[in-house]
Amino acid sequence: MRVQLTVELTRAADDQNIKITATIRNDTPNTARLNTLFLPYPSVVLKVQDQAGRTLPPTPPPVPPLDDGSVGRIELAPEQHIAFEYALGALFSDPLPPGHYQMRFQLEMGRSPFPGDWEGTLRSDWVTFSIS
Amino acid sequence: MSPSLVEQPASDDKTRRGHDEQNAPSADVQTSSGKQFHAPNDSGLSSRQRAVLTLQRTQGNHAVRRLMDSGDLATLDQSVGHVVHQLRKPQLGQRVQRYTPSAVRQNFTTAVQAQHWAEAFTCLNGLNMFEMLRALAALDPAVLDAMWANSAGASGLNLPRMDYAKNVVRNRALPAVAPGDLQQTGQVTEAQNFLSQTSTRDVDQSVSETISNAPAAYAAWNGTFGWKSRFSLFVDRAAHTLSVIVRINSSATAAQKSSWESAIESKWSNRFTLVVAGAAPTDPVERYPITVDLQWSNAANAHYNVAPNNPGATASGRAGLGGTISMTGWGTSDTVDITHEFGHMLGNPEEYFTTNGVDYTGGGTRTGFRDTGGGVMNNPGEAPAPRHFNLIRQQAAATLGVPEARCTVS
Repeated sequence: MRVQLTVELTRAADDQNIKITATIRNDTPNTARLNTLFLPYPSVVLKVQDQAGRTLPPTPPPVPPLDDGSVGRIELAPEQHIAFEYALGALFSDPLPPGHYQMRFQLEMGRSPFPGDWEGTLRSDWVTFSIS
Repeated sequence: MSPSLVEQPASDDKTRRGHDEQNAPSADVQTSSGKQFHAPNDSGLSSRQRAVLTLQRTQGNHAVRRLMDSGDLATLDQSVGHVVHQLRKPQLGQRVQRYTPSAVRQNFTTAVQAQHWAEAFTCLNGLNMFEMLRALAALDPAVLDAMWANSAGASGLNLPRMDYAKNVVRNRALPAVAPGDLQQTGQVTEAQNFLSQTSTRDVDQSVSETISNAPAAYAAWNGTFGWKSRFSLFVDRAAHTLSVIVRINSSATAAQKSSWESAIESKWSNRFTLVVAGAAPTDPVERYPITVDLQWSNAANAHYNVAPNNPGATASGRAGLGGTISMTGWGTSDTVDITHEFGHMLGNPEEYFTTNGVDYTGGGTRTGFRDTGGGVMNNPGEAPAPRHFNLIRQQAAATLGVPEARCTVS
């Protein structure tokens, strides 16, 4: 399973205008059952660092949803993909100050209590963006 | 035959004072609830002052207090002056009753929310200065501007008097010139009292939380999070009210906003009271019921921008259960989890898994999140507890100028 992160504007006046898309593609030869329950939550899946490499604390995550093992599950055939969109403005209660930043998607999906769920780590490359 | 002064909820101070003066030296006062009192001729007092004094003399302070608490007094003339002032002071060992807005003020609020400006001005015009100032102070600045942009609806009303009150509220200072007879009728004094008895405080507090020990399936929740808690406090020592105002800008529909507002205010507002103990054990205790007011504002005046999230909005067709994905991303199908997110805006951290070193699983005896009895910051379906008003308590203490230790929420 591979995830690619794209940023709609790489230079923006403020972070409210920056749209992020995470595209998760099944690059395995088999159909995979993916738990998407947590994937819509930006504070849970997006990591942002400033130019000095310091991680910027995002706004608090939502209360975790109860997982019954079926809600949020999708089947991804080989090479099939699913995309999630986020607004950077939802990650921080204040606009980011001008500067250079990098961001990645990262979610550990290990030791699922529900058999059949794909297990592994979804991690994108770092993507840079600037606030001017 | 003594003239009868029947309460005129929609008449202004000026009109009613004129009526008083014309009908001296004696009067009967009949309230909307049918109570009627005869006022003897006391030189130097208005007819309404005499009526209240008669009630006080014949039936005692408790009778006047009951009248005041019933709301009738709020629509009587403010010139009852020192009698009301004395009654509003907390008596030793007594509980201070909450100020109850008059029906006219409630109609004003309803008209403003509906943007029925002509009706709003008519209602405002009918309030005495005490209530007029408080009614205007409760409005979002942008709404106040919008109302005055439609002041053509005030045609035939005493707009200079309302202008005066608006400027007192907006500038937190007395205007240099008082129009008409506001000075002579005591309304300038009422405005001075308003400025001395009320305080506003803008809170902008950094909050941090570190979540740990989440179960393996929820390991993504482990980490450090941070945000700003922003709201405004309005403390009224005369009316004994404490208002927590959170102004939010959102592109959501009016119906959606109404749904969110109702869910949040019904959960957070009028639930607890700030209790301020006196400096000495024998000093009176003051009580301020805590009102939480979510106001829809524009981007310039808002504490937060909230994005509406449709559960089907993302490419995946999912944006969290009900659509709520963060403190400022509220689901269009959600009226439960947003009340938890609002709790963050009031300065509360999570109360699930282990947060800031506190184990909310009860040593593994509970799930650790969405638990029965966990409270709103653990289980959004539940109500807040007094501890969830802690930042409000601290900020209110600073606003009132009393030590935090004397302030509790119950």
